[in-house]
Amino acid sequence: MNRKYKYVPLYFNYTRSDDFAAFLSNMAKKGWKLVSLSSIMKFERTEAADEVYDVQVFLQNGDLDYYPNQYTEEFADYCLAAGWELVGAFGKWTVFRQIKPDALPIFSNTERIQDICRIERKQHLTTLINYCILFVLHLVIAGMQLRQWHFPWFYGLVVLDGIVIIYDIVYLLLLSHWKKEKERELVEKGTAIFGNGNSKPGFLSLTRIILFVLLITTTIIILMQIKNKIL
Amino acid sequence: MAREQFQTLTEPMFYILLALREECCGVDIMEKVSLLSHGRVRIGPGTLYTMLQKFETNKVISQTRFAGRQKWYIVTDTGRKMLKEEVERLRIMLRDAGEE
Repeated sequence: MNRKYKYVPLYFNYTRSDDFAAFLSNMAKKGWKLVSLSSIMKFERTEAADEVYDVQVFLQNGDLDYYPNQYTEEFADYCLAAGWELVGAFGKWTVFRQIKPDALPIFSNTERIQDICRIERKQHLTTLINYCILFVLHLVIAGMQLRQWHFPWFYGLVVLDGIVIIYDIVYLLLLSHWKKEKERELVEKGTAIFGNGNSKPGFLSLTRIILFVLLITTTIIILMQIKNKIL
Repeated sequence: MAREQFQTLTEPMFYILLALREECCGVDIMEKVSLLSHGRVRIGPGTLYTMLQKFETNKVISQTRFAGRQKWYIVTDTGRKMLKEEVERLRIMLRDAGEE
């Protein structure tokens, strides 16, 4: 079947921006050109081409921005002068296509490590704080109901909050380790690679898989509890 | 504030300020830095953009005019003083190295 468009979910996290860029170059080689960037990427069937992409984290693009904002457009002007054309921006992601063979690297590796850590830390700390508040609230309600009501799923919610809290703590610890590893790589090799060489999308980090499995299991348990209560 | 943050100028910082002794369009600074350093120092667009914003926030440089999204900048008195102090620091270091 000769499709004109192809849609691929964006599963890369910020620490894998080089993998993301390599994935886009591979798609271009297979004749799929990126036309729009969002949580689902849209590729259009074109002639196979050797294109070099660069994917950067740009802190001034909003978390929920689907398009380049004013700052991103300004930033893109500087990149254009240096040989990189902006293809799209989504959240903190900015994707560039190389248009000059001698294009300068957009950011230094040191800046990339700092920016990636900053955004990942901010996102996971926000979730951690939110879920800590929810955890306390659900725990209080679960304690109150011992005396007055009986809604067993509140215990399930406490467990769910706990899982997300543990996940975020583990992620932040892993991020701290990742930062040290990258800085060491930079000192020893003079460069750092942002990814694991796996350019395929759909790759989920181990922590994400564990979180996903735990969330599904807890949800099933809660639903079973509710069902038992109703029946 | 600016003093504390930019106590020692990095090479890109130094050359950006050097390029902005005369009014210059932000985008053209990359080219100017390359010329000033005889091609030895090349500043990436992301580094430059971030640095200009930091400098402007700390009043080390100021915007002189704009046309569309293009902005022109020049170094402020604070920036000139920082640049002068950095040159003096480098001169002392060179002198000390020569004395060894």
